[in-house]
Amino acid sequence: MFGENLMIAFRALWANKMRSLLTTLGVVIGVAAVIAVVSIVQGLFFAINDLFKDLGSGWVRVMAQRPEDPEWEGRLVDPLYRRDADYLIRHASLVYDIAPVMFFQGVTIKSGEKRATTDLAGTVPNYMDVTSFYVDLGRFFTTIDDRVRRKVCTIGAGIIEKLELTEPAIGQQIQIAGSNFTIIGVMEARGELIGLNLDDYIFIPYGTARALFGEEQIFNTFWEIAADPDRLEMAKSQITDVMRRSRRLDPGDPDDFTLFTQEQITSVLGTISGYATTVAGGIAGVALFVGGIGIMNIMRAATTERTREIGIRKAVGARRDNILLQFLIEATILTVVGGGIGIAIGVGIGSAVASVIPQFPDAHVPVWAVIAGFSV
Amino acid sequence: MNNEALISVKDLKKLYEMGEEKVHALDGVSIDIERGEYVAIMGASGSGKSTLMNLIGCLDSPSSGSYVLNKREVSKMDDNELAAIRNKEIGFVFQTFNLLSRTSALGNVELPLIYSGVPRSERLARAREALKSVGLADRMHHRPNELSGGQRQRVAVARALVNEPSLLLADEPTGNLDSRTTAEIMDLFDKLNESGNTLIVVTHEDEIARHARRIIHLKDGKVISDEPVRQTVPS
Repeated sequence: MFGENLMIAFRALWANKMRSLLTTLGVVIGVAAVIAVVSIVQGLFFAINDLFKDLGSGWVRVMAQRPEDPEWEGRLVDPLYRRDADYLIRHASLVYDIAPVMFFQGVTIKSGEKRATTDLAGTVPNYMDVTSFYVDLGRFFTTIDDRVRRKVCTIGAGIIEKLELTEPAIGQQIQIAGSNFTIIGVMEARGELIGLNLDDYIFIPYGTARALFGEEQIFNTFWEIAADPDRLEMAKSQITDVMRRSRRLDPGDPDDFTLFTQEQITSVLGTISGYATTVAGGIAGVALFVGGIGIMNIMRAATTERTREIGIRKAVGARRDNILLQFLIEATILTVVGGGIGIAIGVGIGSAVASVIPQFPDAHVPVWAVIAGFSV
Repeated sequence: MNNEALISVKDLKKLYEMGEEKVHALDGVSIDIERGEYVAIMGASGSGKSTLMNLIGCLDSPSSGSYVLNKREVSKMDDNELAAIRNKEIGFVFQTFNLLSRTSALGNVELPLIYSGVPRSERLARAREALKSVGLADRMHHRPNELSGGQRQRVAVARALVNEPSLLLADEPTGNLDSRTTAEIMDLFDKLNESGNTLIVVTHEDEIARHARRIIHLKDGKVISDEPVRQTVPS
């Protein structure tokens, strides 16, 4: 008898193609919206996560930071001095190396008549080892370059395009903040993330940056640290202890610096990603809900007709369960078909968005979104 | 009481409660109808003829009284048993045809057979046969909106007959038809009766009732007359 009911349901759907189509369309749009949006958001955050993974598990960043304490309100926090770094290297056994970075945003650069702005980092030769981020062409600057404050720079691959430099870029002169620099290397390309060019920066020696921008710019300095990856937590508390001693903080004083690790960034990203997914999913959920209302409306409009249909079927001998089963099967077919198409379209939109926008991360389709979409 | 009767209704009552008010739609009706009879049930609106038709058609259950159809007591049956009775024993013809609008004539006629679980090949053969018998052999794959009123009603008759029911129940079967197609349908009914089918036609038109062999008049839920039709000589 189930086979008969299945056939009756199929026939009823086929006989009312437009109604079936509209109903399915509602499901399709809702499910596709949920899956596309969630996939895109997830893909985005997976890509961002990957970016930070490159930094390696032994990576710690130290920044000077005013404690969140009313007593510190308005007080100038000590920058990260060279002596702190030396002290840290000497006394923190789990710290392998430190690369100070003096960071500037929106620095004017020029090549011939072409003018642009970029991010500038003054740092030291071991920066590459500390951050596992290496030069691709030419060379990074040396300790000597740093000591004698040579006006040499290693550029991100994006600068070539930005300043319309002719290849090879190495050996060419560019102006940075009014001074002439020689390009000695090009860093490995990292590509783009949601329209953010990850290759848009210039490295110059730390000493050169200090000379160029002034001693007081030490307030713009943070440290990249390579520590023991197997004992990162211990390394972190060691860094904190040694830093406190170096900076002569009393036992009751709060830290006037802060530590970042990849794990922290990952977890922060995870939280943001969670919120973003919830919000985006929520919006898509509204779409699904609206789609659902649309379906309800179509169903309601169909009710008059269907009431008649039920009457006719009952008159010719359909039992209550025949009718119930028929409607249940109809709804199931519509949902499964609509859900299936919706998932396909959602995944399609996710991938399409990923491929149309250059360097956009691949959409990541979470299974839970598929299941959630389906169950609606 | 005649045990051989196809239909034996005894003291049938149907009470509708509308708030405080109680309406006796049927107030003790007793009728016997033999196999092969052609009966017209007449009465003004509100007389209870529709209620009686619903009860005889097993579309509704009585408040009290007994209804024996084909030797089976129907009045105490549950919904599923009633559905089976409607499927096997009764063929309906309604004023508004009540065909599935987006389904072909064949699909409509097939419907009762689907619910009685007749296998596909036999089902199609019987549905075709029924359509042929009402003269619609060339209209099987037309949908109701592609058929005239008379043709639609003949599809409905074919559907009513396809499961070889004991009883054909028609409720104002010509109410939506013009005079020419009315004659066409009534001819069909006459022929069906001549070939042995039991017919009950509910109507308020004397013209229609005169085709029957027996007329039962209802008023205020009671039978007020029940007499054979004097065969009129066709003018």
